[in-house]
Amino acid sequence: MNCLETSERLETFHDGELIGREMREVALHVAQCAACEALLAEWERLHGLIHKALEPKPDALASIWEGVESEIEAPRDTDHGWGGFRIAAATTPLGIFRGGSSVADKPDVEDGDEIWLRPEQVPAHRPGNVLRAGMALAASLFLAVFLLGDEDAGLSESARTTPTTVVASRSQNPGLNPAHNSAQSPKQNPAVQPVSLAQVRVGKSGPPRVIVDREVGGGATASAQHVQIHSVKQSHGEMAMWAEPTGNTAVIWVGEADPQARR
Amino acid sequence: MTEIQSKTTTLLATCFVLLATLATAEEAEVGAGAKAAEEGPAVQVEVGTVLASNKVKRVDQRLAGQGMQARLTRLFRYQSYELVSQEAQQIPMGQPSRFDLPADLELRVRAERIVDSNQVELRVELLEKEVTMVDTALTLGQQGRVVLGGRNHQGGVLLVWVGARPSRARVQPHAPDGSPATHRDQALMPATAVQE
Repeated sequence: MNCLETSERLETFHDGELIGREMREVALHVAQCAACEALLAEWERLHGLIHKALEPKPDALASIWEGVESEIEAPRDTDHGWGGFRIAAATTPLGIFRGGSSVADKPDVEDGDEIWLRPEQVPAHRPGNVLRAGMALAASLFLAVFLLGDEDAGLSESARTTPTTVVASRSQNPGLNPAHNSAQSPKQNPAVQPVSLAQVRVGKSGPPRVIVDREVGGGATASAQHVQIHSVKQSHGEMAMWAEPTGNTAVIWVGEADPQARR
Repeated sequence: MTEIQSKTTTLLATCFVLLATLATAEEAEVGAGAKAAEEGPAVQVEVGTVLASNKVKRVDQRLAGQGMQARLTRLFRYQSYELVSQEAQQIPMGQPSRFDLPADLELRVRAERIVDSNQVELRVELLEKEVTMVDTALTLGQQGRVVLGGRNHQGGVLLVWVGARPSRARVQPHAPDGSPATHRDQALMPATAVQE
Protein backbone atom coordinates (compact mmCIF):
# COMPACT_ATOMS: atom_id res chain seq x y z
CA MET A 1 0.00 0.00 0.00
CA ASN A 2 1.48 3.37 -1.00
CA CYS A 3 1.18 6.80 0.59
CA LEU A 4 -1.75 7.88 -1.55
CA GLU A 5 -3.76 4.77 -0.82
CA THR A 6 -2.90 5.06 2.84
CA SER A 7 -3.83 8.73 3.08
CA GLU A 8 -7.21 7.97 1.53
CA ARG A 9 -7.86 5.47 4.29
CA LEU A 10 -6.35 7.34 7.21
CA GLU A 11 -9.60 8.84 8.41
CA THR A 12 -11.43 5.53 8.43
CA PHE A 13 -8.38 3.87 9.94
CA HIS A 14 -8.30 6.46 12.66
CA ASP A 15 -11.99 5.96 13.29
CA GLY A 16 -11.43 2.25 13.66
CA GLU A 17 -13.62 1.43 10.70
CA LEU A 18 -11.04 -0.53 8.77
CA ILE A 19 -10.86 -4.23 9.42
CA GLY A 20 -8.74 -7.21 8.55
CA ARG A 21 -6.03 -7.00 5.94
CA GLU A 22 -6.81 -3.40 4.99
CA MET A 23 -6.39 -2.29 8.57
CA ARG A 24 -3.12 -4.16 8.89
CA GLU A 25 -1.78 -2.79 5.62
CA VAL A 26 -2.55 0.78 6.60
CA ALA A 27 -1.09 0.25 10.05
CA LEU A 28 2.04 -1.31 8.62
CA HIS A 29 2.49 1.51 6.16
CA VAL A 30 2.00 4.13 8.84
CA ALA A 31 4.49 2.30 10.98
CA GLN A 32 7.11 2.50 8.26
CA CYS A 33 6.35 5.89 6.69
CA ALA A 34 7.20 9.02 8.60
CA ALA A 35 5.02 11.24 6.39
CA CYS A 36 1.93 9.13 6.85
CA GLU A 37 2.64 8.78 10.53
CA ALA A 38 2.74 12.57 10.80
CA LEU A 39 -0.52 12.75 8.86
CA LEU A 40 -2.11 10.29 11.25
CA ALA A 41 -0.80 12.27 14.21
CA GLU A 42 -2.41 15.38 12.71
CA TRP A 43 -5.68 13.47 12.40
CA GLU A 44 -5.42 12.47 16.01
CA ARG A 45 -4.75 16.07 17.05
CA LEU A 46 -7.68 17.43 15.04
CA HIS A 47 -9.95 14.72 16.32
CA GLY A 48 -8.94 15.56 19.85
CA LEU A 49 -9.69 19.22 19.31
CA ILE A 50 -13.08 18.50 17.80
CA HIS A 51 -13.92 16.07 20.53
CA LYS A 52 -12.92 18.61 23.15
CA ALA A 53 -14.99 21.32 21.51
CA LEU A 54 -18.07 19.11 21.41
CA GLU A 55 -17.63 17.84 24.89
CA PRO A 56 -20.72 18.68 26.96
CA LYS A 57 -20.17 20.73 30.10
CA PRO A 58 -22.30 19.23 32.85
CA ASP A 59 -21.69 22.09 35.28
CA ALA A 60 -22.81 24.62 32.76
CA LEU A 61 -25.98 22.70 31.97
CA ALA A 62 -26.74 22.38 35.66
CA SER A 63 -26.36 26.09 36.16
CA ILE A 64 -28.66 26.72 33.22
CA TRP A 65 -31.33 24.57 34.77
CA GLU A 66 -30.90 26.37 38.06
CA GLY A 67 -31.41 29.61 36.20
CA VAL A 68 -34.48 28.26 34.46
CA GLU A 69 -35.93 27.02 37.72
CA SER A 70 -35.38 30.32 39.45
CA GLU A 71 -37.00 32.13 36.59
CA ILE A 72 -40.00 29.83 36.59
CA GLU A 73 -40.50 30.36 40.27
CA ALA A 74 -39.88 34.11 40.18
CA PRO A 75 -42.81 36.42 39.27
CA ARG A 76 -42.57 37.50 35.67
CA ASP A 77 -41.91 41.21 35.65
CA THR A 78 -41.84 41.70 31.94
CA ASP A 79 -43.90 40.29 29.17
CA HIS A 80 -42.28 40.55 25.79
CA GLY A 81 -45.31 39.38 24.03
CA TRP A 82 -43.99 36.05 22.78
CA GLY A 83 -44.15 34.06 25.95
CA GLY A 84 -40.48 33.86 26.34
CA PHE A 85 -38.58 33.15 29.50
CA ARG A 86 -35.47 34.68 30.87
CA ILE A 87 -32.12 33.23 31.44
CA ALA A 88 -29.50 35.15 33.30
CA ALA A 89 -26.32 35.49 31.35
CA ALA A 90 -24.34 35.22 34.53
CA THR A 91 -25.30 31.59 34.73
CA THR A 92 -25.20 30.96 31.02
CA PRO A 93 -21.86 30.24 29.44
CA LEU A 94 -22.08 31.78 26.03
CA GLY A 95 -19.95 29.16 24.40
CA ILE A 96 -22.49 26.43 24.46
CA PHE A 97 -25.07 28.62 22.80
CA ARG A 98 -23.06 29.44 19.74
CA GLY A 99 -25.54 27.54 17.67
CA GLY A 100 -28.47 29.66 18.85
CA SER A 101 -29.03 32.53 16.47
CA SER A 102 -30.30 35.01 18.98
CA VAL A 103 -27.25 34.59 21.15
CA ALA A 104 -24.75 34.17 18.41
CA ASP A 105 -25.94 37.46 17.07
CA LYS A 106 -25.01 39.10 20.35
CA PRO A 107 -21.37 38.27 20.85
CA ASP A 108 -20.84 41.21 23.14
CA VAL A 109 -23.03 39.88 25.91
CA GLU A 110 -21.45 40.32 29.27
CA ASP A 111 -22.02 38.74 32.62
CA GLY A 112 -25.08 40.13 34.28
CA ASP A 113 -26.85 40.88 30.99
CA GLU A 114 -30.14 39.21 30.44
CA ILE A 115 -30.74 37.27 27.32
CA TRP A 116 -34.20 36.62 26.07
CA LEU A 117 -34.83 33.67 23.96
CA ARG A 118 -37.88 32.47 22.19
CA PRO A 119 -38.87 29.06 23.54
CA GLU A 120 -38.06 27.42 20.23
CA GLN A 121 -34.68 29.09 20.33
CA VAL A 122 -33.62 27.49 23.58
CA PRO A 123 -30.41 25.80 22.45
CA ALA A 124 -31.20 22.48 24.02
CA HIS A 125 -34.22 22.24 21.77
CA ARG A 126 -32.53 23.23 18.57
CA PRO A 127 -32.09 20.40 16.08
CA GLY A 128 -28.51 21.46 15.33
CA ASN A 129 -27.50 21.25 18.93
CA VAL A 130 -29.37 18.05 19.49
CA LEU A 131 -27.62 16.64 16.49
CA ARG A 132 -24.26 17.82 17.73
CA ALA A 133 -24.89 16.54 21.20
CA GLY A 134 -26.02 13.23 19.76
CA MET A 135 -22.97 13.04 17.57
CA ALA A 136 -20.72 13.84 20.50
CA LEU A 137 -22.46 11.25 22.61
CA ALA A 138 -22.23 8.66 19.83
CA ALA A 139 -18.58 9.50 19.28
CA SER A 140 -17.87 9.18 22.99
CA LEU A 141 -19.70 5.89 23.19
CA PHE A 142 -17.95 4.62 20.09
CA LEU A 143 -14.57 5.63 21.43
CA ALA A 144 -15.35 4.12 24.81
CA VAL A 145 -16.46 0.86 23.24
CA PHE A 146 -13.58 0.83 20.80
CA LEU A 147 -10.91 1.67 23.32
CA LEU A 148 -12.18 -0.16 26.33
CA GLY A 149 -14.17 -2.88 24.67
CA ASP A 150 -11.68 -5.61 25.46
CA GLU A 151 -12.09 -5.84 29.17
CA ASP A 152 -9.72 -8.74 29.42
CA ALA A 153 -6.94 -6.69 28.02
CA GLY A 154 -7.44 -3.93 30.51
CA LEU A 155 -5.49 -1.54 28.37
CA SER A 156 -6.37 1.98 27.43
CA GLU A 157 -5.51 4.23 24.54
CA SER A 158 -2.17 5.03 26.06
CA ALA A 159 -1.22 1.40 25.83
CA ARG A 160 -1.80 1.47 22.12
CA THR A 161 0.31 4.44 21.33
CA THR A 162 2.99 4.43 23.94
CA PRO A 163 5.67 1.92 24.79
CA THR A 164 3.90 -1.18 25.83
CA THR A 165 4.36 -2.29 29.37
CA VAL A 166 2.27 -5.07 30.74
CA VAL A 167 2.86 -6.21 34.25
CA ALA A 168 1.59 -9.45 35.65
CA SER A 169 2.30 -11.48 38.71
CA ARG A 170 4.86 -14.26 38.83
CA SER A 171 3.21 -17.60 38.98
CA GLN A 172 3.43 -21.15 37.80
CA ASN A 173 2.22 -21.98 34.34
CA PRO A 174 0.64 -25.23 33.23
CA GLY A 175 3.42 -25.45 30.72
CA LEU A 176 3.75 -26.72 27.23
CA ASN A 177 2.69 -30.28 27.09
CA PRO A 178 0.35 -32.30 24.94
CA ALA A 179 -2.42 -31.98 27.49
CA HIS A 180 -2.18 -28.21 27.57
CA ASN A 181 -4.47 -26.84 24.93
CA SER A 182 -2.98 -23.96 23.04
CA ALA A 183 -6.44 -22.52 22.61
CA GLN A 184 -6.94 -22.36 26.35
CA SER A 185 -8.57 -19.11 27.30
CA PRO A 186 -6.93 -16.79 29.81
CA LYS A 187 -9.90 -17.16 32.09
CA GLN A 188 -9.13 -20.85 32.33
CA ASN A 189 -5.54 -20.08 33.08
CA PRO A 190 -5.48 -17.05 35.38
CA ALA A 191 -1.80 -17.50 36.05
CA VAL A 192 -0.97 -16.01 32.69
CA GLN A 193 -1.71 -12.39 32.04
CA PRO A 194 -3.35 -11.98 28.66
CA VAL A 195 -2.34 -9.09 26.50
CA SER A 196 -4.35 -7.69 23.69
CA LEU A 197 -2.89 -4.74 21.92
CA ALA A 198 -3.71 -2.84 18.80
CA GLN A 199 -0.34 -1.38 18.18
CA VAL A 200 2.94 -1.91 19.86
CA ARG A 201 6.04 0.14 19.59
CA VAL A 202 9.18 0.70 21.55
CA GLY A 203 9.47 4.41 22.15
CA LYS A 204 7.38 7.03 20.45
CA SER A 205 9.62 7.08 17.41
CA GLY A 206 10.89 3.57 17.85
CA PRO A 207 11.46 0.89 15.28
CA PRO A 208 8.65 -0.37 13.06
CA ARG A 209 5.88 -1.53 15.26
CA VAL A 210 4.39 -4.93 15.22
CA ILE A 211 0.76 -4.66 14.31
CA VAL A 212 -1.48 -6.60 16.54
CA ASP A 213 -4.71 -8.20 15.49
CA ARG A 214 -7.38 -7.67 18.09
CA GLU A 215 -9.62 -10.27 16.51
CA VAL A 216 -7.72 -12.99 18.31
CA GLY A 217 -8.67 -12.81 21.94
CA GLY A 218 -6.72 -13.74 24.96
CA GLY A 219 -3.30 -12.72 23.86
CA ALA A 220 -1.21 -10.28 21.97
CA THR A 221 -0.97 -11.06 18.32
CA ALA A 222 1.35 -9.57 15.81
CA SER A 223 2.19 -9.94 12.20
CA ALA A 224 5.22 -9.08 10.20
CA GLN A 225 5.88 -10.25 6.69
CA HIS A 226 7.28 -13.62 7.65
CA VAL A 227 6.19 -13.88 11.25
CA GLN A 228 2.71 -13.98 12.65
CA ILE A 229 2.42 -14.02 16.40
CA HIS A 230 -1.02 -15.30 17.25
CA SER A 231 -0.79 -15.01 20.98
CA VAL A 232 1.70 -14.09 23.65
CA LYS A 233 1.29 -14.71 27.30
CA GLN A 234 3.83 -13.84 29.91
CA SER A 235 3.85 -14.69 33.54
CA HIS A 236 5.75 -11.72 34.88
CA GLY A 237 7.70 -8.63 34.01
CA GLU A 238 7.33 -6.27 31.13
CA MET A 239 6.84 -7.02 27.50
CA ALA A 240 7.39 -5.31 24.20
CA MET A 241 7.25 -6.48 20.61
CA TRP A 242 8.61 -5.09 17.41
CA ALA A 243 9.87 -6.27 14.06
CA GLU A 244 12.67 -5.38 11.73
CA PRO A 245 11.70 -3.38 8.63
CA THR A 246 12.00 -6.38 6.34
CA GLY A 247 9.43 -8.22 8.39
CA ASN A 248 11.66 -11.26 8.61
CA THR A 249 12.22 -11.15 12.32
CA ALA A 250 9.97 -10.23 15.20
CA VAL A 251 11.08 -9.68 18.75
CA ILE A 252 9.21 -10.55 21.90
CA TRP A 253 10.97 -8.76 24.70
CA VAL A 254 10.36 -9.70 28.30
CA GLY A 255 12.03 -8.59 31.47
CA GLU A 256 13.24 -5.27 32.69
CA ALA A 257 16.45 -5.06 30.69
CA ASP A 258 16.67 -2.20 28.24
CA PRO A 259 16.01 -3.72 24.81
CA GLN A 260 18.23 -1.13 23.14
CA ALA A 261 16.02 -1.40 20.14
CA ARG A 262 17.23 0.06 16.89
CA ARG A 263 15.42 3.29 16.05
CA MET B 1 -23.58 -90.45 15.59
CA THR B 2 -19.88 -90.74 14.94
CA GLU B 3 -20.38 -89.35 11.47
CA ILE B 4 -22.24 -86.39 12.85
CA GLN B 5 -19.49 -85.75 15.39
CA SER B 6 -16.88 -85.95 12.66
CA LYS B 7 -18.70 -83.46 10.43
CA THR B 8 -19.16 -81.09 13.33
CA THR B 9 -15.48 -81.26 14.20
CA THR B 10 -14.52 -80.61 10.58
CA LEU B 11 -16.89 -77.65 10.40
CA LEU B 12 -15.56 -76.16 13.61
CA ALA B 13 -11.97 -76.62 12.46
CA THR B 14 -12.75 -74.92 9.15
CA CYS B 15 -14.38 -72.01 10.92
CA PHE B 16 -11.41 -71.69 13.24
CA VAL B 17 -8.93 -71.67 10.36
CA LEU B 18 -11.02 -69.10 8.51
CA LEU B 19 -11.28 -66.82 11.52
CA ALA B 20 -7.57 -67.13 12.24
CA THR B 21 -6.75 -66.20 8.65
CA LEU B 22 -9.00 -63.20 8.77
CA ALA B 23 -7.56 -62.01 12.09
CA THR B 24 -3.99 -62.34 10.83
CA ALA B 25 -4.78 -60.38 7.69
CA GLU B 26 -6.50 -57.64 9.66
CA GLU B 27 -3.62 -57.40 12.09
CA ALA B 28 -1.13 -57.09 9.28
CA GLU B 29 -3.21 -54.36 7.67
CA VAL B 30 -3.56 -52.46 10.93
CA GLY B 31 0.16 -52.74 11.59
CA ALA B 32 1.03 -51.34 8.20
CA GLY B 33 -1.42 -48.48 8.62
CA ALA B 34 -0.12 -47.66 12.06
CA LYS B 35 3.44 -47.61 10.82
CA ALA B 36 2.47 -45.26 8.03
CA ALA B 37 0.64 -43.05 10.49
CA GLU B 38 3.52 -42.98 12.94
CA GLU B 39 5.94 -41.65 10.36
CA GLY B 40 4.29 -38.26 10.29
CA PRO B 41 5.60 -34.99 8.91
CA ALA B 42 8.48 -33.42 10.76
CA VAL B 43 9.63 -29.89 11.29
CA GLN B 44 13.19 -28.69 11.46
CA VAL B 45 13.42 -26.28 14.37
CA GLU B 46 16.53 -24.25 14.95
CA VAL B 47 17.22 -22.43 18.17
CA GLY B 48 20.17 -20.16 18.78
CA THR B 49 21.19 -18.12 21.77
CA VAL B 50 23.17 -14.92 21.53
CA LEU B 51 24.66 -12.90 24.35
CA ALA B 52 24.31 -9.23 23.48
CA SER B 53 26.18 -6.60 25.44
CA ASN B 54 28.03 -3.31 25.16
CA LYS B 55 31.28 -4.43 26.72
CA VAL B 56 33.28 -4.50 23.52
CA LYS B 57 32.46 -4.02 19.88
CA ARG B 58 32.54 -7.39 18.27
CA VAL B 59 30.18 -9.69 16.41
CA ASP B 60 30.51 -13.44 16.33
CA GLN B 61 31.42 -14.40 12.80
CA ARG B 62 29.18 -17.43 12.89
CA LEU B 63 26.15 -15.21 13.18
CA ALA B 64 26.79 -13.86 9.71
CA GLY B 65 26.75 -17.39 8.38
CA GLN B 66 23.40 -17.94 10.04
CA GLY B 67 21.99 -14.79 8.55
CA MET B 68 21.46 -13.52 12.06
CA GLN B 69 24.05 -10.77 12.19
CA ALA B 70 22.14 -8.47 9.87
CA ARG B 71 18.86 -9.24 11.56
CA LEU B 72 20.18 -8.54 15.04
CA THR B 73 21.91 -5.32 14.06
CA ARG B 74 18.72 -4.14 12.39
CA LEU B 75 16.79 -4.83 15.56
CA PHE B 76 19.18 -3.84 18.33
CA ARG B 77 21.89 -1.32 19.16
CA TYR B 78 24.19 -3.54 21.16
CA GLN B 79 27.90 -3.40 20.47
CA SER B 80 28.62 -7.07 20.91
CA TYR B 81 26.82 -10.22 19.77
CA GLU B 82 28.23 -13.56 20.78
CA LEU B 83 26.75 -16.87 19.75
CA VAL B 84 26.44 -18.91 22.91
CA SER B 85 24.57 -21.97 21.74
CA GLN B 86 22.85 -23.32 18.71
CA GLU B 87 20.81 -26.41 18.19
CA ALA B 88 18.58 -27.82 15.49
CA GLN B 89 16.12 -30.62 15.95
CA GLN B 90 13.76 -32.44 13.69
CA ILE B 91 10.63 -32.74 15.70
CA PRO B 92 7.49 -34.64 14.81
CA MET B 93 4.24 -32.79 14.49
CA GLY B 94 2.44 -32.23 17.76
CA GLN B 95 5.31 -33.52 19.84
CA PRO B 96 6.88 -31.18 22.40
CA SER B 97 10.61 -30.78 22.11
CA ARG B 98 13.00 -29.30 24.58
CA PHE B 99 16.03 -27.09 24.03
CA ASP B 100 18.35 -26.41 26.94
CA LEU B 101 19.64 -22.87 26.96
CA PRO B 102 22.20 -21.01 29.06
CA ALA B 103 21.26 -19.36 32.36
CA ASP B 104 18.93 -22.17 33.40
CA LEU B 105 16.60 -21.35 30.58
CA GLU B 106 14.64 -23.93 28.70
CA LEU B 107 12.76 -23.62 25.47
CA ARG B 108 9.88 -25.94 24.70
CA VAL B 109 8.74 -26.05 21.14
CA ARG B 110 5.84 -27.91 19.63
CA ALA B 111 5.08 -27.90 15.93
CA GLU B 112 1.33 -27.57 15.55
CA ARG B 113 0.91 -27.75 11.79
CA ILE B 114 2.35 -26.82 8.45
CA VAL B 115 0.58 -24.00 6.65
CA ASP B 116 0.75 -23.51 2.87
CA SER B 117 3.52 -26.11 2.64
CA ASN B 118 6.26 -23.73 3.76
CA GLN B 119 5.06 -22.07 6.96
CA VAL B 120 5.16 -23.71 10.33
CA GLU B 121 2.79 -23.01 13.17
CA LEU B 122 4.56 -23.37 16.48
CA ARG B 123 3.90 -23.18 20.14
CA VAL B 124 6.96 -21.83 21.90
CA GLU B 125 7.47 -21.55 25.60
CA LEU B 126 10.48 -20.05 27.32
CA LEU B 127 10.93 -21.15 30.91
CA GLU B 128 13.29 -20.25 33.66
CA LYS B 129 13.47 -22.84 36.41
CA GLU B 130 10.09 -24.23 35.47
CA VAL B 131 8.52 -20.78 35.49
CA THR B 132 7.16 -19.66 32.16
CA MET B 133 8.57 -16.37 30.97
CA VAL B 134 6.83 -16.35 27.61
CA ASP B 135 4.25 -18.61 26.10
CA THR B 136 3.50 -17.83 22.50
CA ALA B 137 1.80 -19.31 19.47
CA LEU B 138 3.18 -18.15 16.16
CA THR B 139 3.61 -18.96 12.51
CA LEU B 140 7.01 -18.67 10.91
CA GLY B 141 7.60 -18.40 7.20
CA GLN B 142 10.73 -19.74 5.59
CA GLN B 143 12.54 -16.47 6.23
CA GLY B 144 10.79 -15.82 9.47
CA ARG B 145 12.40 -15.96 12.86
CA VAL B 146 11.28 -14.82 16.24
CA VAL B 147 13.63 -13.53 18.90
CA LEU B 148 12.81 -13.94 22.56
CA GLY B 149 14.96 -11.54 24.52
CA GLY B 150 15.35 -9.73 27.76
CA ARG B 151 16.97 -12.14 30.21
CA ASN B 152 19.97 -10.55 31.90
CA HIS B 153 23.07 -12.71 31.71
CA GLN B 154 26.76 -12.04 32.36
CA GLY B 155 26.53 -8.30 31.97
CA GLY B 156 24.44 -8.50 28.86
CA VAL B 157 21.14 -9.91 27.71
CA LEU B 158 20.28 -13.19 26.09
CA LEU B 159 18.59 -13.21 22.72
CA VAL B 160 17.05 -16.54 21.80
CA TRP B 161 16.05 -16.92 18.20
CA VAL B 162 13.76 -19.60 16.82
CA GLY B 163 13.41 -20.59 13.21
CA ALA B 164 11.47 -23.46 11.68
CA ARG B 165 10.78 -25.04 8.35
CA PRO B 166 9.03 -28.19 7.19
CA SER B 167 11.42 -31.09 7.09
CA ARG B 168 11.54 -33.60 4.24
CA ALA B 169 12.40 -36.34 6.68
CA ARG B 170 9.54 -38.08 8.41
CA VAL B 171 10.22 -39.10 11.95
CA GLN B 172 8.49 -41.38 14.36
CA PRO B 173 6.65 -39.58 17.12
CA HIS B 174 8.17 -41.75 19.84
CA ALA B 175 11.55 -43.34 20.26
CA PRO B 176 11.66 -47.00 21.32
CA ASP B 177 12.24 -45.97 24.94
CA GLY B 178 9.15 -43.80 24.89
CA SER B 179 10.97 -40.48 24.87
CA PRO B 180 10.19 -37.99 22.13
CA ALA B 181 12.11 -38.81 19.00
CA THR B 182 14.04 -35.76 17.90
CA HIS B 183 17.06 -35.57 15.71
CA ARG B 184 19.64 -33.14 17.02
CA ASP B 185 21.82 -31.80 14.26
CA GLN B 186 23.96 -29.52 16.25
CA ALA B 187 24.46 -28.98 19.93
CA LEU B 188 26.20 -26.41 22.05
CA MET B 189 28.93 -24.88 20.00
CA PRO B 190 32.14 -23.35 21.33
CA ALA B 191 31.90 -19.61 21.05
CA THR B 192 34.73 -17.93 19.22
CA ALA B 193 34.20 -14.29 18.59
CA VAL B 194 36.04 -12.18 16.10
CA GLN B 195 36.85 -8.53 16.34
CA GLU B 196 35.06 -6.37 13.80
